[in-house]
Amino acid sequence: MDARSRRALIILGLTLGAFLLSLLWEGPRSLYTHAAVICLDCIGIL
Amino acid sequence: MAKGVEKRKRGPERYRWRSQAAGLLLLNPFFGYFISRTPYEGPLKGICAPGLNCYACPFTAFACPVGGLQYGFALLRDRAAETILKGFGVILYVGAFLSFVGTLVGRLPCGWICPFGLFQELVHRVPLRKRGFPRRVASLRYPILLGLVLLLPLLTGASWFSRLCPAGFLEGALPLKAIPPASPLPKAGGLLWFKAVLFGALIVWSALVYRPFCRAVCPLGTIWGEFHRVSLFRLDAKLALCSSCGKCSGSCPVDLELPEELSSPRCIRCLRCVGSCPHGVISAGFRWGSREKVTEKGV
Repeated sequence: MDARSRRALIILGLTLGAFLLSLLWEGPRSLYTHAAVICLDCIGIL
Repeated sequence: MAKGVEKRKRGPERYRWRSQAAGLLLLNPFFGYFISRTPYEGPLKGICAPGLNCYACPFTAFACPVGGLQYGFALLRDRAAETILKGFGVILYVGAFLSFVGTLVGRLPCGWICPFGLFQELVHRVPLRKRGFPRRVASLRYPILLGLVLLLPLLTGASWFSRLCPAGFLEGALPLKAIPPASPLPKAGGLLWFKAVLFGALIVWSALVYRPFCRAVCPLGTIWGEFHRVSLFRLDAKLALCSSCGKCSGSCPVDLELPEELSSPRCIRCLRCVGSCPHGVISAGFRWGSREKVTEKGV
């Protein structure tokens, strides 16, 4: 395995760790509650 | 004809428009809005879209990762520990998504999926005399990412990039104005008009320059571009076969000097260079380990 693939593998491992940690702090659920309603910033309503 | 726009596409790029059309439909499949007049609120909205696709769009089924990132940083401004932890959760979740896609394929979604990239490419087909794109303008994307997506939301608690985002105007504001939702929205103020002006300016710029938003502004492309040094999907060049004819550089729509800049963060991975080389010097694909003897120059 070359150095680049090794680096990619390490990053993927860290990514998995970050994902698991995000579950602990309700990351997906919080994003869902935010994204499910119309984003007024995006459509230019403040 | 614009630089890099060939009449007949060769190599993998000839399948690209189909992939972009499929991306547009897959990210915006909720045609039920025409009947219900209520945007999609199902569980997919908790998953990030692999492209700049506004989550205010009434047809979209996914969340915009740039919007999600801003939301996460904005939550950190709160004083309640529970909200701050939620902010960290969102940042880690969106960060993990961006890192996962970036490590696997880099900016491949920019060239093959992103609906806003497709929109700019369509506008670029307007028959006007095309202009060059100064390289230093491309550096704007770093302060935009840092300032509008990370720092300002952290300091003010508001999503500043979303407030200016032209994709939000195209995919969110315009459809919602044309087909209003069942529950009426608050009255729009001056920001909507400011966004309309920015969007108009981008249309003119896109007609003159190939995908200027992707090259100078897009935070998503900026983040994924930084993964090109490690991504498993790679562009490689067998330099021993290269006759330095310059056809690859001539075909590159984002004006990269090829094959030297194959791993540049500015590459949108359209793969036009792969088909342009008459000697098959440039190849693209997933490389795991060092099974194939390839030579690659750096950024």
